[in-house]
Amino acid sequence: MMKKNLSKRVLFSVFLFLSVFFFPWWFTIALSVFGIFFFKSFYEALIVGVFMDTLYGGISGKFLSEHATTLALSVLFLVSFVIKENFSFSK
Amino acid sequence: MKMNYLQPNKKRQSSPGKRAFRITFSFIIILFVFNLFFPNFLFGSIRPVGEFFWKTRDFLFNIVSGPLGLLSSKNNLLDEKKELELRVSQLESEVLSLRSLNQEGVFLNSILQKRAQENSIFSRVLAKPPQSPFDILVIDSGSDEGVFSGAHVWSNGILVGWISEVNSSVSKAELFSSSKRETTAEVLRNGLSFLIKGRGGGNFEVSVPTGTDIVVGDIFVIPSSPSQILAKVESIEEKETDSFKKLFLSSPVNVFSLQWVEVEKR
Repeated sequence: MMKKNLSKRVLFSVFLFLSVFFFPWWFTIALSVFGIFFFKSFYEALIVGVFMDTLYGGISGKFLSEHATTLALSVLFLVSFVIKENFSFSK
Repeated sequence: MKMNYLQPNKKRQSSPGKRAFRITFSFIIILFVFNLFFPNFLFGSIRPVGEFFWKTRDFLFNIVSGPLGLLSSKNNLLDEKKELELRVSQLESEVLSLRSLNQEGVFLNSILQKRAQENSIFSRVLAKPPQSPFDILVIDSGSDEGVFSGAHVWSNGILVGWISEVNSSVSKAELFSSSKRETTAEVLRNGLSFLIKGRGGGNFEVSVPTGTDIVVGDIFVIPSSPSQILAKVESIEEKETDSFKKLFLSSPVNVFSLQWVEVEKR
């Protein structure tokens, strides 16, 4: 059972990573949000956020705007722990 | 006789939430430090991965679209329609470009512009909106080809942006229509100058006093170079009680279908 869950997570993470290059940004964000709530401690979303900001982000000289996607996903990631305590999502 | 047994030590484990907070916070601090001391490190490291997947995507798309097109005549018609729409968009850009040259009587300017663009290279667009969430293009040219930070980027003779980040073989171009980006532009017809604000997706907006001589169809250009078209007025939002009217402009270039751009080089 654990192996099946792990392989699901690995496949999903690979697909999420590839979506950064193959699909529109909103699709990647939606997948990341889904992963954050569906899987336990989905750190992969933070890595994907870094990829998106680095590859597609502009240069403004401000850390907050240059890494907006990463920061937003980080906040959502942390908030998800609170939400998951009250609702049963993750496996 | 009752025996008391020592209870085994229960190791105190921090909750998953607290552990995640510590890890996430550390991750952000590390990211901040990298951004501060090694600003180009991340892009330089991730760029080769991006290049590989973008080129693979284009290669696969070229392979798949051919055979599938043969099997489906409906898809052929849709592709043809897209190509024709793109061609119409390109022709409209060229017409606007020629119109601006005529209006200014700028034969000399056209020579100057041609000279500027002779010092340029064609570059393939690897990533564009909506793949990128911001109006940023990733192009297939870098410092090895003479591209430099601040270099102008054109599409069909229309100035669309500038190079914001340069690597050896890949660069990022920020479009003038990037959200919240402000650009000084001049109305070609009467020379009025305004600060237009990007709204993303090749669109701009600007608020001007009611009564300002601007109509739908007016062309905005870069002040220092009247033949460098930036945008065209698409619509005007005006209320009788307001002292300002809002102009909505759009770039003649369809940023969602850009495949090639021209980039200024050293």
